[in-house]
Amino acid sequence: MLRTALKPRWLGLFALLLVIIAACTQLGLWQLHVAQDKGLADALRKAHEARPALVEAVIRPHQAFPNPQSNRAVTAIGTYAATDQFLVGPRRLGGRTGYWVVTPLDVTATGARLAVVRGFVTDVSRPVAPPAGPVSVDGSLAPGEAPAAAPSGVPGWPRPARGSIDFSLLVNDWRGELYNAFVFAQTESTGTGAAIPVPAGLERVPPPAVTGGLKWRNAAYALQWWVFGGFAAFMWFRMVREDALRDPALEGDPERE
Amino acid sequence: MSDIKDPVSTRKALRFFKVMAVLSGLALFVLIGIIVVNGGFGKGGASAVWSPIHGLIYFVYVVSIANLGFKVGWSLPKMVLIMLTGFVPLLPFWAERRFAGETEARLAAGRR
Repeated sequence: MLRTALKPRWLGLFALLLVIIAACTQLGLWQLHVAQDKGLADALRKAHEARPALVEAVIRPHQAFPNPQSNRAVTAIGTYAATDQFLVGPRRLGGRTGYWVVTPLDVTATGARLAVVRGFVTDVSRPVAPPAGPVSVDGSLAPGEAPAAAPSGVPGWPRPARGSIDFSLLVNDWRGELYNAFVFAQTESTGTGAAIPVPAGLERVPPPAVTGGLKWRNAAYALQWWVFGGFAAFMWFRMVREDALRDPALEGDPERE
Repeated sequence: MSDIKDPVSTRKALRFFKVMAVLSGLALFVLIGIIVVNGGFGKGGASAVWSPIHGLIYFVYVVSIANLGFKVGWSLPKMVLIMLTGFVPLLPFWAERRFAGETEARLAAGRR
């Protein structure tokens, strides 16, 4: 059988087999990595469902955004900087076009600034002032956004409107330290714990839904690629054996069945 | 091509091949239907559930082709060609008619 396998025809097919096995192995590894990326998505969903933590326990000022903490439920305690509030957009919520109201919160524990998306407005003619004094904001954490062109014809609230929450720009405008993260505010309460009602015309922005991946699908694909690679090897072996059995030149070969 | 050596096991392999050709043809239709309804690849949902199952059915189809092919002495290019029919809608049904018919004719000729 070995002598048959060394024929040029079977050696050529063996080279092809090696290529197929290498390709199937790589494709399987690729699917395995996709499955693991989806594992990260699951981790993000867990972060969202985790017990709320104080923002300073999750991220430090200037620290790069910790990806697995995206959507993490956080509580931020501080004071809103009403004079630095601005609109971001245009954005869509529930099929309507409007703007996010972003107000910097000076976090008491660290003195650093945290951008807070207080809500969504469709009417930009009347500014929505943030609550004065110490506030406690419950919401979910999100990483900064990619740069986007500022919208035109939108009033300053009181700062000029922006296209996105881009910390590379905000770091120039805000004094002191800042967090590379922002919060989608869900509820606000005063320093004494009394709930602050949502201002008229303002609608809370729900945190982005984490698209849950089906890890097992990609894991199954990985397995299927490897099985195909193994099957190609089996095909080669079977064909060489058939040939060896048929070959009259190898009559009397001790390896023949 | 030489006569079929083992008609009994060939008939079994032939039945297996015919069933898998029809199954993989249907599985491909279901997959395409789901993708059309979902409006594209990678949308998750039903296609996420069905595509690995389709992959598995296709693999068994490939095995059934090899199983029959070795018994009736098909060449490697011929087997690979039949395996590739599993990627094209309707073609597995054609492959089933064409190659199962051919094998049946040879089996019938061998009996005489």
